Amino acid sequence: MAAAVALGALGVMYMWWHDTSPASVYGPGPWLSAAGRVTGLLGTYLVVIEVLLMGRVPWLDRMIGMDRLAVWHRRNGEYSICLLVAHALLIIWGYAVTTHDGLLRETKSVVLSYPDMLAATVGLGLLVLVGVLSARAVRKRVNYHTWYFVHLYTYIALALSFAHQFNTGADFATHPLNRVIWGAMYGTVAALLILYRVVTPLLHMARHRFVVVGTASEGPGLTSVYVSGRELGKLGADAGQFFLWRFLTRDGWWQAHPFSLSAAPNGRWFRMTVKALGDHSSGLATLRPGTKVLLEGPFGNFTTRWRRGRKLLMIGAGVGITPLRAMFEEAATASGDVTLLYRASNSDELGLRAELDEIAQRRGAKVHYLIGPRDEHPEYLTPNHLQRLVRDVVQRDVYVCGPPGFTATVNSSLRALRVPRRHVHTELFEL
Amino acid sequence: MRRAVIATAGTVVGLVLLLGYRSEGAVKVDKVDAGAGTSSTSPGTNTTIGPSTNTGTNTTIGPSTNTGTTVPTAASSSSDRTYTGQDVSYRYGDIEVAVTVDGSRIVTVSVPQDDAFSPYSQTVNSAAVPILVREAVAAQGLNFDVVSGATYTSDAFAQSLQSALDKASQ
Repeated sequence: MAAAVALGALGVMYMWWHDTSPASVYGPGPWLSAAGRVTGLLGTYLVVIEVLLMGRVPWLDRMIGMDRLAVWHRRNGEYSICLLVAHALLIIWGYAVTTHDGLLRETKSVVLSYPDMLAATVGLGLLVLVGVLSARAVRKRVNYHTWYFVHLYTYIALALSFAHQFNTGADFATHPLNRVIWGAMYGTVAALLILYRVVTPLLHMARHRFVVVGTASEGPGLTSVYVSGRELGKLGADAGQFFLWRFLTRDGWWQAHPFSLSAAPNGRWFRMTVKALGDHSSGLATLRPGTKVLLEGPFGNFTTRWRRGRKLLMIGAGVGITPLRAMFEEAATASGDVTLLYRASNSDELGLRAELDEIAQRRGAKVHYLIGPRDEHPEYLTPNHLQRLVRDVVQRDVYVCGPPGFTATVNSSLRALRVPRRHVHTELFEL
Repeated sequence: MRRAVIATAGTVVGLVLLLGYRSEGAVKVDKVDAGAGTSSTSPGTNTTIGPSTNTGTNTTIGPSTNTGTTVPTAASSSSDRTYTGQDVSYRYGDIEVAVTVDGSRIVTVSVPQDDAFSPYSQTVNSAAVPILVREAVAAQGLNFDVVSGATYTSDAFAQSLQSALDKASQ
């Protein structure tokens, strides 16, 4: 995928190269505006890719995984918005140098007198707003509702900035073929978005009729939601995967959240288990049976399908336990040779403990609880300790899921133990 | 932070290399295309003009003239007649081209009206219009190329010139 994106970027560069006569890049003014043109083309291309990365496209999920796509989305988002800001500044600066006008005067002239430039300027402003609200420091202080709706402005920004490319862009205004290529790029991504973000979920809803059948408290602050429907087996969900859950209540219908299945799929119901964190997850406890649900998915590559050997080790902490709980059940039922390490800072935080114990007891699988504050037990995740708990750790496929710091620690210990990298499977929780 | 520095540095270096390499080509082309100077005609499509016609007239063209650019190629005689073409509006302004003919030969081309509505377009036109005028005289008609970077101006120029030539041929 990275290679495909890079290849596309090269194509965009070639388009610029082919359409730019060497003589037109002459002197400081044209140099600056040519640089502005390149950054504009590249930035726009990457913004379109940016939308595609979050398009819930199943084959992208299988190839890369939603978790990694989300990481890419963040990095590519930062980069593409910077490129587009550079595009605007460089073009104006270049024009100002050419005309010997002041920057302000030139800005006014470019924005007001060129066709569709006012709309494009508003579009860029919206994109910058989306970027600012998504910056980590700001994102923490903004509620989900605001962040979500501002993020939708991306589509408006794309629409507003589209026309100026064809009507003023040197590479499009007089190049019909480039217009076709560029239009096809936008069109393809738009079609994929409509297909996978709108059509597929609606078709699934019509076919499977997902509905809440009940909720259950799993301990302090921990709630499970059970969703049933018709022909659930046909969705082909595996333990370890997640769905985007959209509960069609009056306040919640507009938001879809990713939650892993916390029990192995059984064809009759799906279950997710959440810790009450934000407004959304604490509201789930009050869901009434009969509430309709729009499920998107299943997504994710964190499944035992990718195991290399027969023996499994699962290491989890925090909310990371939910997919592992489902995989533990599935693996224990299938082969039995599975060990689970569950890290928590106190025993109150051990969600689903009773279930894990029951599965272990019935199927002869092993569970170790590593309980206590980190500063009192720095040894828990060290190579030595892991080796002592699981003697044959090197021969096992290891599934790791938890907060980023935890995952990093476990992964470095596994490396120290010389567990082959392809035997280590991690799910990144960095949304 | 480190990633940001790498991305920025990489982009800047990439841009400079890309542009540097692209404009380096310009110098080479200029050597081949002696006399074309800093003209913004694209080198690949230069064939209809020919370097020989450029050389002689090159000195008379400066970006300072904005309107009323003319390129005389011969002394005017009493049989010369001037026809003014339509004022053609295009995306960035409007332009009017006049042609002086002696029989079927184009003696001079001038631009009595060249209004571009942004300072940038004015600058672009001040460079492009003299080239267009020169090309039109050299080609003795419309068989010349657009000036890259001034495509709309070139098209409008050609349209207006066409209407002037139409009047002349009536």
